[in-house]
Amino acid sequence: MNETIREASKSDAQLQADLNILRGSANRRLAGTAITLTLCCTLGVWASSTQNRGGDVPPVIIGAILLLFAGVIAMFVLYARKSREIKAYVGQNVTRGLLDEVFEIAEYDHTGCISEDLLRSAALTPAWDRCSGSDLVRGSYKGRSILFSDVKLEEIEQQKNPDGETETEWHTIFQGPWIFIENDRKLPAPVRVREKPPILGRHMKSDLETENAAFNERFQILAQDGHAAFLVLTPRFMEFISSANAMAGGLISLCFDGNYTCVAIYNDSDLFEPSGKKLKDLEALKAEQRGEIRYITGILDELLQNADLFAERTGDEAAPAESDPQGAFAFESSAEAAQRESGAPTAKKAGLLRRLNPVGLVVLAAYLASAVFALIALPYGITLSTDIWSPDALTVPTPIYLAVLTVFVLGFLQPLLKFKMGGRNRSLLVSIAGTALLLLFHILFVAANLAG
Amino acid sequence: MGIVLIIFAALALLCAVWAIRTGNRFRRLAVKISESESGIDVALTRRHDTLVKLLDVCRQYAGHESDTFGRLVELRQGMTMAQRGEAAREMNRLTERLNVTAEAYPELKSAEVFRRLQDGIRDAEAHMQAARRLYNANVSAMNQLLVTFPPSLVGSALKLRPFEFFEADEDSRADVSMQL
Repeated sequence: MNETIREASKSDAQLQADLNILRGSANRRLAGTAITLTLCCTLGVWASSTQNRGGDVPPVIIGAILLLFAGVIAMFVLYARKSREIKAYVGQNVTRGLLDEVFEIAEYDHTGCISEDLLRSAALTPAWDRCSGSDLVRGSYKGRSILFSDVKLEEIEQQKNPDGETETEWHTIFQGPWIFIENDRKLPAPVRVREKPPILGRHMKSDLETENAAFNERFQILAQDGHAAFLVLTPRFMEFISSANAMAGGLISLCFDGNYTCVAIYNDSDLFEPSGKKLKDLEALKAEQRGEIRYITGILDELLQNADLFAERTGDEAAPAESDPQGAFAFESSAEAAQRESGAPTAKKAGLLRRLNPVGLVVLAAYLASAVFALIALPYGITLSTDIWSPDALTVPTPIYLAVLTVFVLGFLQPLLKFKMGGRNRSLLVSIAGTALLLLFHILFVAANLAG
Repeated sequence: MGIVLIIFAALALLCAVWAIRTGNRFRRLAVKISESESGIDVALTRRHDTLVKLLDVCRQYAGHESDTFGRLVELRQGMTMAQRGEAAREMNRLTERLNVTAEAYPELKSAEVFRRLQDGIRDAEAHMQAARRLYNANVSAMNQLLVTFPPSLVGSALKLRPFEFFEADEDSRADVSMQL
């Protein structure tokens, strides 16, 4: 745990001195990167203009350009490493101390992030393919288990460029803090409330409408169980959610499921990020980070006012959770809780089954079998027409050949049968590429037969 | 002539599709209302059962005052929404009386079983409120559709009448009344 590498608390003067040394070193590396890049570019421009005028560029200059280019990369890597070192130092010696003032911290990891499974179970954002984050905090606040971190969710987009090559791009679909807090009321079904973005949000339909028209206009309510939704969304709590949006400074989404309440705020921010200027002044840095902690506790305090979700805890209950000193409380959704109670297969297995539609699995099995069959049987056992597109090709006296063709067609239909392999585009590409490969095999085997 | 017929046939088909869709919408809403009605019944029963237990506990501690508690309203099958509302109000009044009694009997108020039952009552009330709001939201959607033209035509054809709201209790109304 990070606690073990946490250094003994240092005085502010010592911290500032250390930060100055680290910052100086990082600045030198950044300056080195800039100078090397300038030299590299200057030589590159000179070599290019010389060549354009018809002159020869000496090999030593080309060597120098390559060397300088390698130097730019090396210097930048060194700078990035030093920046991470500063972040780690600030995290362990400044942020951790400030968090300790407010929370009972069981774990703080400046490079950690909330688990993907938990983020997916909350399902507050559209489908995403990659998750990263920082500043994971696990502990308790006013006697309740909490968990929060910065989260960045990205979606993959693959496109063909004019040269026919596949280009992969990552689009950020969410960046901001996610906060999980343990609640008392275990809901029979999850309830999700998502703030609608200004223009695109018009198309976000809710599963139900409350009596608060302004709330319906601004938020999308997703709930299969209307009773559970109205149980959570009391008139007062809807007012809070509306006002919390102003405080959050971004799009706010909430999920009430199982034993937790989750708040995700899409505000493009990165918590506890030490900026260059603030590193000069430790007090300013601390003030900024205290403000960020107040932002989190402000949201938590408002949530805790919902007596239906969070019963008032007094005396021993409000004290740091004795039973949970290591933050071992497990945030689990209602589906996970039901699965645990019924002794059903593990969440990992269920997750896999959820992703792989049974119909898709059958199609995939048939698909693979046809590939193996095409590899082994076609060149030896079956006579094929010379032209695969002619009607004669369909009169080949074997039903197996027709079965193979059927599987080809099913392969094309595969995405329509909701076979999911981790993204709509990827599924489609895998399907088309697989089918194209099989057709290629087929043509090659026809050629092999003819040659034979 | 042929084209006119085709246009008329297409229009008639469109009208028929629209009428079927609207009729299905009415039926779906009616099912939702029926579901939320049973939600109210479940919440009422839950509250009733908890009140029975609370009443028993109060009788143990303050038996000589049991006449002042009053009778707990009986729930029966096929109650109208107004009757259900009256039953809920009766239960509110009884809860209030029991709380007043508990104030006069510190040993009753501090009894673990009494506190647990009070928590149960609060929980049942929260469920009652949720069931009431869900029912009223569904009824509101249905009634709005019934008075909107042209869906009202389909509603009349299906012989649907506006549904009755589950009225808020008197205390809730008092909260919003102006004190002049």
